Amino acid sequence: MTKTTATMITPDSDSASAPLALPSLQIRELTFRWQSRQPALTFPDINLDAGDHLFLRGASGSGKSTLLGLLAGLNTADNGDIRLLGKSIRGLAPSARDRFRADHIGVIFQQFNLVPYLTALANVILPCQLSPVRRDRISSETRTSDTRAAIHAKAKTLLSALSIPQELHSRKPAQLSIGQQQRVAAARALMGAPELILADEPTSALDSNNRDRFMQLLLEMAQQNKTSVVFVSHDPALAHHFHHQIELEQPSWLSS
Amino acid sequence: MAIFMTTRMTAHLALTLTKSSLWHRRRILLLVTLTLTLSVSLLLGIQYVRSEIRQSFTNTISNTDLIIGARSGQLNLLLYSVFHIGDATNNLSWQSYQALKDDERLSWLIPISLGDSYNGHRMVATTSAMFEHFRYGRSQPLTLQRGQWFNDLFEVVLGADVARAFNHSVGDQLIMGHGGGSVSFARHDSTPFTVTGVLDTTGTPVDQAVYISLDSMEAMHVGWESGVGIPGRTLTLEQAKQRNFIPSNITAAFAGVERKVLTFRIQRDINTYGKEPLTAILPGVALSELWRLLGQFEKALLGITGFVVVVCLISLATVLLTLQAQRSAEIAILRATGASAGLIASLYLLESLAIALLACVLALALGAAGIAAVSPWLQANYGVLLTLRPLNPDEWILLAAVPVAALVIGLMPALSAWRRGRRPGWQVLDDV
Ligand SMILES: Nc1ncnc2c1ncn2[C@@H]1O[C@H](COP(=O)(O)OP(=O)(O)OP(=O)(O)O)[C@@H](O)[C@H]1O
Ligand SMILES: [Mg+2]
Repeated sequence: MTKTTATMITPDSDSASAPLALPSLQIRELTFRWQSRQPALTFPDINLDAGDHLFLRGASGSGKSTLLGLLAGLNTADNGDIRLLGKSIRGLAPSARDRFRADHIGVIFQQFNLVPYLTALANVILPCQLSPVRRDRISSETRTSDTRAAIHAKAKTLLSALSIPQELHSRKPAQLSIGQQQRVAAARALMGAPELILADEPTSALDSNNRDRFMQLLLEMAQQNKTSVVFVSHDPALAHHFHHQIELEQPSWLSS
Repeated sequence: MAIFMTTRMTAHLALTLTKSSLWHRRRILLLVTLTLTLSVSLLLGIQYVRSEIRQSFTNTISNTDLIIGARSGQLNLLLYSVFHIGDATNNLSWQSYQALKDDERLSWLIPISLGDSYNGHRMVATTSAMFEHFRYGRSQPLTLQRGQWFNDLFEVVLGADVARAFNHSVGDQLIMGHGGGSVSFARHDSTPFTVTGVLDTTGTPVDQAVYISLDSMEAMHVGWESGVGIPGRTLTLEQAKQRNFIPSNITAAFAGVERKVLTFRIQRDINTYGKEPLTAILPGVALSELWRLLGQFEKALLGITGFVVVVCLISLATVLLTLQAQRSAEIAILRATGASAGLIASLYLLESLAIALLACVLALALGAAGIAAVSPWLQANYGVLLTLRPLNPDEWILLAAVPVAALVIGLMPALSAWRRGRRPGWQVLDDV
């Protein structure tokens, strides 16, 4: 079994115990096997403080998406520990993991991010329909009794902030450009201020202008919400946007 | 309380998502629904018509113990004497009829003589015994909605449908056609008939016939020996009243038996009658043979429909599974946003269920419309009364099987979605 090595280019990666807020993400000795005959993918230990943004790099096949799947609780690790917001998610029942994901995690995929039959606005509102926690966060923030209206207003604000003009809010995804779709997906991930956003190469289909604007908007708004971001890309040009970066090395059984 | 709130929220979300999803793909789903609708209405329709026809069949004649005619097959005799379908190959001589009349074991006899028609409706020449002794359904006698039974020459009593079809009522004058068929080339112009009564609806071939006396039958054919009416030789009412008519033969006779145990004995005696080759049949036996004959056909039909349904279910499954494969991107998004495996499964199930229920409702509407459209034609041509009635339990079960089957089909992707819920991937985009 080969070991995946990692370099965490962080000034003080071991000072996780110091801050008051719980670290948003801690992983220890994590391994995962897709198939029993394959050697396990192993992942470096990571500590990510609340509100910090992590850039996750690595060659194709190095396990970046797999790691995000583990963090989202869509897969369960074979070994090791994942703590999100101080809570170990390995031991949780599937339904509890779904609940946790709905309440605390926003996800952005590389493509096909939107439910095709819902409007841009309805797509953004979706997390609030799946999670009372995220809904309550918005209603307590605005202090109105009309939760529905508050959620709509919040979604519209987010979309506008991500430079989706008003007239596109009621469009279906098919009538939006790829760049617009990705920004709507970002708005959805940000909706209800989850503690953690997982993004898997969301900019790979965008040109450099669009990409830079996307990065800027996403990270700015994450900052405002004090949301941690784990961002996967193999584009090194994006690294400077982030507090930390980490590189997954390709397992040797793949490179040979 | 919180759990209750979330469950309600989830149910609401599942419904709104299903609604939007169905609407989004409405074109393809409509086609699927139509296919399913057609096969459900076909299956249900055949089942319905089958039980209606069976009912209608067994209702056509009752309390008649024997039907007697010239030597022929029992089905043939049953068909022409009761259903007015086809023609008699031979007649029963008046002498034989008299001999039957003299048989004390028979409590009553109804002679009938067929041949002519009124605008395509059989003209049945008989006597008042018909009105007195003929029974249908559950021993119901013939009843008149208007007027009275004929008791003189050139008087006619109409079946309910004949009166309705031509808007006839008591007092109208009718010209009979010579021979059967809806268009008669030769008509009995010189001997018009007067309507004296209209029968109540029976739901049997009686509704489609007109009834005159045996004497009228003879009288109207005087001067027709060559096959066409020769002017001057036909009789007027006054001339006819002066004469006495004795028919030389009749087509058949219905008989009631005094002591039922003797029925088979009498049947054998008639079948072996020395002076003329005769056939006596038991209507019940003949009816069940007819039913068996149709039963084969009916079974084949049911089998074919079963096939149609299976094919349709398979196509339903194919389309649903293909649609689900299309939905996998959306499902990945929902899962990543925190939708539980249960919610995903319910999306699949709701979709199948919605399609199946819609198809069932449409099939019911289509079936009702179809029956309403076909029943007048069926009754006019075959004397089978097809009524719109609520579904019977068998039919409900058949109908209920459709959404159940759709649920089972919906369960396949739902199950695999649930399994994937157990061992999912990051944005899994295929494999249903
Ligand atoms: N659903 C799956 N079933 C089996 N093996 C898988 C599955 N998904 C990924 N793998 C394997 O796991 C390893 C890591 O895959 P992963 O998708 O995490 O790579 P990645 O770093 O995201 O690559 P890329 O940059 O191309 O997206 C690969 O060797 C891949 O073949
Ligand atoms: Mg990947």
